[in-house]
Amino acid sequence: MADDTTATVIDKDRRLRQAELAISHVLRGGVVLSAAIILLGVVWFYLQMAITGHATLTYPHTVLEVAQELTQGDPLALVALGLLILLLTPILRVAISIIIFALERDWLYTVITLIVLLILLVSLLLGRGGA
Amino acid sequence: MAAPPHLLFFLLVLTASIAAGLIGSLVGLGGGVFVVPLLTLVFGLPLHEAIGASIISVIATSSGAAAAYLRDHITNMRVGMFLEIATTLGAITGAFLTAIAPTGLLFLIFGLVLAVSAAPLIMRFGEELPQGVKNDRWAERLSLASSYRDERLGRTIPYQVTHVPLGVVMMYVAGTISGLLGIGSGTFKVLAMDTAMRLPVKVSTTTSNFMIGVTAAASAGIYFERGDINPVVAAPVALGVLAGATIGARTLTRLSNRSIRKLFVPILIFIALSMLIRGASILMGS
Repeated sequence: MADDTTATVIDKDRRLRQAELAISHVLRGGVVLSAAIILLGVVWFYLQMAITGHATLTYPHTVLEVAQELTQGDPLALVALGLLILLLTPILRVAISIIIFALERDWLYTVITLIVLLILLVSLLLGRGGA
Repeated sequence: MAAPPHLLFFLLVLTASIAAGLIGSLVGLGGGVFVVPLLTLVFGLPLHEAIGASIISVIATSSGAAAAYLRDHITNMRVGMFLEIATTLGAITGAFLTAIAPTGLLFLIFGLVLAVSAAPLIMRFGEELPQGVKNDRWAERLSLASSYRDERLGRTIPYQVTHVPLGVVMMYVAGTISGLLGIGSGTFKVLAMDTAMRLPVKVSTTTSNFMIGVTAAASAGIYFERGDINPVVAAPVALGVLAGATIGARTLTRLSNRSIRKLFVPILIFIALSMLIRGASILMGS
């Protein structure tokens, strides 16, 4: 920082703040969306139980199962969808950070953030492998 | 094993989770530290189901709280992003280890993790603004030094970063603990940034909150596909913790670092003891 000129520092600061703001919106948007879907699924689940007197307690374990059971009208699949969106929120945050660092021509942090994203994607594949 | 799907169960877990999220966000934790003991000790749920719901709540707390903190410009994104390489690798390690570890042992580790993390906080009360910290080679190369605006002190605080390699190792361990126990392990992340890298505690706390969501996502995917995330349990936990964390995030900047820590220690010790006792009784009973 010490050998930077003041103008560069201020410019860097401004862009970093824009980046923070963008990420902040993604986090908030993802969280609000997932919370709404989870709440909807829960209301549906307990309404269905109150009306029919019983409930299916099995729930989907993969993205594909979530989609399939949603089309079959399973409220817990909707809850699972909300949980999945919540799970993807931080991953999306990392993806956006890559773009922002690249736009800033901050290649070091572009690579660092890319590594983080790769690790996250590998973890999803590891889960699919039936850990 | 299925949880009792009564509406009362939902409302009780929801209410308790709001409290967990509130406290968790106030002390810079993911809320999981309170969720796992709550679901196992109070609600009697199986440990792996509690861990699965907890890791979801950790993401909710982190994303919800980080969204609010960022606009305070306290979070150090570079420090967070760089250290996430270590925490995510650790989280994957932990998610695999938890599947093979005996339940009693996991309870014991949970209790020990809490007990150990309480000790340095008691001994290092009030290091709000670390003095005489100089950038090490890594901090220089990675441009980790920064500054933040302290609302309570009413001025901008510049700071430097040291002992980066030690911080990375501690972060890998923190990530492993997160994946193993379904907690954000904010305690260990704060410790790494506070004790090793010597960041101001407010920066450590907010950057930790920012990081734990990404760390948790690395193990949550594995938990989800393993079937450990039961929607009936995870839903009220996620919604409750999220609500609590949102309230907590709005209160944090008005509290001093000392009051955060004082609030933190006795609660931590109580939960640690409860988990240790449960772990010991399971191991002795089997």
